[in-house]
Amino acid sequence: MLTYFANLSPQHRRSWGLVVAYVALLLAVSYVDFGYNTAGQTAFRGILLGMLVFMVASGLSLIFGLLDVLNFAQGAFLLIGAYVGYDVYTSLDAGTTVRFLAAIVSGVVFVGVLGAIMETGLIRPLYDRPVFQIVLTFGLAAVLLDLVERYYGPDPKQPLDPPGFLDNNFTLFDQSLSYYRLFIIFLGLTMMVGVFLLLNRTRIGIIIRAGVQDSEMVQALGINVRLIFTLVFVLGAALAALGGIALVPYQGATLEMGNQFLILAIVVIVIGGMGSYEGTAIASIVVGLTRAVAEQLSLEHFDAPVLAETSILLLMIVVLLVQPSGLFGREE
Amino acid sequence: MMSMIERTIYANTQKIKDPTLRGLAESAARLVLENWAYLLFVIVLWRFPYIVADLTDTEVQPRRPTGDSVFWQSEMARALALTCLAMSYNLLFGFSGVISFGHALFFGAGGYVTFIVLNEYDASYQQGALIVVIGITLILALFSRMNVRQLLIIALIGVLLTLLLMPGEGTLSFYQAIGLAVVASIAVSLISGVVTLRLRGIYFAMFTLALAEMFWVLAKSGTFRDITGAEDGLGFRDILPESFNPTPTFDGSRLDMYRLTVVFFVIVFIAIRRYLNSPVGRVMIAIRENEERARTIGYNTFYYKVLTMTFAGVIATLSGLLFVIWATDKRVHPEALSLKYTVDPLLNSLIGGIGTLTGPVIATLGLSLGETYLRNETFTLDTGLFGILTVWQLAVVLVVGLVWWLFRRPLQTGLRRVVDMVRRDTARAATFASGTHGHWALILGYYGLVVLLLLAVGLVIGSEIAHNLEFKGDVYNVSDLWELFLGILFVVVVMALPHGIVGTWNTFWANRRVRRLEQSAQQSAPKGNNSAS
Repeated sequence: MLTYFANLSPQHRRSWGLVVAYVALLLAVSYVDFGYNTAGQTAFRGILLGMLVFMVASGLSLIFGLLDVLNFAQGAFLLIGAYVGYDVYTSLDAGTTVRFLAAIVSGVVFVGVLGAIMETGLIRPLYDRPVFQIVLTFGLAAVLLDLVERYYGPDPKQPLDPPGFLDNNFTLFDQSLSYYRLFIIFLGLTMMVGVFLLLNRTRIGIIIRAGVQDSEMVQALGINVRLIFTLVFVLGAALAALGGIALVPYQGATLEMGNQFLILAIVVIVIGGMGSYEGTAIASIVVGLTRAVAEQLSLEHFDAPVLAETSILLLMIVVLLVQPSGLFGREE
Repeated sequence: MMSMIERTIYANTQKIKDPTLRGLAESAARLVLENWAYLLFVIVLWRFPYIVADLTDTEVQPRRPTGDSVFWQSEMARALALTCLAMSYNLLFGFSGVISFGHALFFGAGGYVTFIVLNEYDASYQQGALIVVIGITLILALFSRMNVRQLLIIALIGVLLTLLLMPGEGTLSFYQAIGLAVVASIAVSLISGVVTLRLRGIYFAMFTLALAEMFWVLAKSGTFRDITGAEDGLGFRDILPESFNPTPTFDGSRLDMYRLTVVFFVIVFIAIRRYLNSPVGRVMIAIRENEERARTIGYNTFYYKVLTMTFAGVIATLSGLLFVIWATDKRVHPEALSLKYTVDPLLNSLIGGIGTLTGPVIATLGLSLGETYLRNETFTLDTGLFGILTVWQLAVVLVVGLVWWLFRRPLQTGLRRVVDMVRRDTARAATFASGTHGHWALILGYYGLVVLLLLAVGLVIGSEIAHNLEFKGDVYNVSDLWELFLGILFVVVVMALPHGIVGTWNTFWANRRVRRLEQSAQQSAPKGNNSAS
């Protein structure tokens, strides 16, 4: 960890400083404005949102970093994961814990297979036409959304009971919260650490990082880069699906969910720098916190929670203008 | 490769300008001869209500607005508004290479700004508008590389427009509202263009998407119900003022509105064509082909891109207004800002052919009218292809066929390995019986197997789906399948026809002509050699 900070480039060191200062400012503002308890609740909500956004954004960022494909279908993957998970969770005849695990496994596998088919069948032939790749993922996202609506109906699905072993409450900042929220944060942190370890401590991770640097060179070394591409795409899709399933007991499943999280994830990777894993992780939390604080602020002062949407976009505009390659992106 | 239209226009520019009467007559005749297809199309569009009326034996302007002719007038006008949207998207995506995923913002802005201004106008807005104009100029000055003269001109135009369009007191007329909508779309596209066009393609795409989504959320939310009407949208009953009289017989009836739409469509088409063949448009195409090179030559590519974006934004705004008048019964809903109106023109331009003028027109009209037609028709479950396959089974066959087509290369390599293996064995077994018959039999067997597999899978899964989905009785219509069909069409076009329908057609004929020329050159070449020797 210490060596990490010692080896930072000046730009990244400045970005770290900016992030820390910004988060401190956010927390200070919310503490002054809302008081201790509400500020704590807001921060907790922000971190929770950040973890959920991270699950979509990390896939987006990994896929873009390695494949140079901006996968606009990532939101659709989250949506399909959520709906398939919902389907399995409600239709199985077993205890809640078993059903929840079954929902996770089936949703992740379903979306993973879908991602594999998409990458090998549709995206792979288009590597020499990058514009069409973007357009294809964008169009596919719309088509998938339509199909989900056609199959599951336009009505939003109500949030389900969390699985039995998490169906208890605890008190934090004077507010009774379900353990399920802690579980989401735990899941997000596990993903963060897990993908970090995968990238930094395994052979595949080395190949992926090398591929991000220069995929042709990796191929020249005799490694099947295309297979790694597919793997990363599947990994990204599966992470998004996992985020979707995690949302089901918390928010239910709605058709708007996919695009909503896609926009958040886009903001995250723009702020964090496309293709940078640490940037994505940090930016998710920053975006989550910003959004939660803005929501609370606009609720208390203007009675208009929509303004929170604008705050995220403003943050993105500012970062884009100050540093077009993102806080932790590669300098161009 | 030059498309047919580009070639025509190139020929037009090559003409010598002859100011005499005879010269003018000649140019007019040439114009008609070279554009006969477009003229025919416009005439058919103009007579379209009468043609439908003749075919279906209904009235063009019945006392009660029912009947096929009236229905198709509305549908056609709606489709034409969408066509203008697709053309403006294609101008941005196909001709300047800028991928914007926020085109719905302009589309929705048309209705929203006009209606909000009509409903909400207050004289004090004039000062606000002046501040906005000055703000835009300042932003342009800060972020663009425009020189002082260009900036001054823009500021001057802005101030003049503000003073002209916004009276000091009282309410605004319809024209002023439309004018303000246009000014607003210019402002939005200028600001977003100046802020974001410096970004690389992908950042730009993401930014526009986020921006449009944000406005959609804002328009939908109940917070601004006073201004936007939230989910209900904004309405305005008498959108055209009494004084609107382009022709003596104009009375604001449906037929007149239809003709107004056709006129708008023709103007947009000519404007885009004119724009593309102006020096600015040529630079635009150069930027699409190679931005680095265009910049090296000395063009301020950024300036041209902002200009094109503004132009496309204005067209999208106007077509959005037209669409609101036609499709949603003089009400603008938040849906007009939703992703649908970015995806629709994108799909239509791609299917028709990006970078072609006629592609989006053909695709939008075909798909939009085709959808309307098919949605109104009903089919029973038993009628399908030759009474064997129901429509669902047919759909599954198509999907599985598509998957097979996409994976044909890996499948074929695998198969070739098997074939090689088998051939080696048979060759070993019958050393003297050589020949390729075994090979062909295998290939035939393979394709036969594939077809059988497709049929089997289609029959099983198709009937499975048909049984599991609930239809209204035995009758259902195509709306259940339309999105699937559109998705498959989209994927096929992106994968197999990157130039779209019109682009592929043009390429095919251009290649053929080149081949013919080469052949005739080869035939005439030996003669020259003989005479020389």
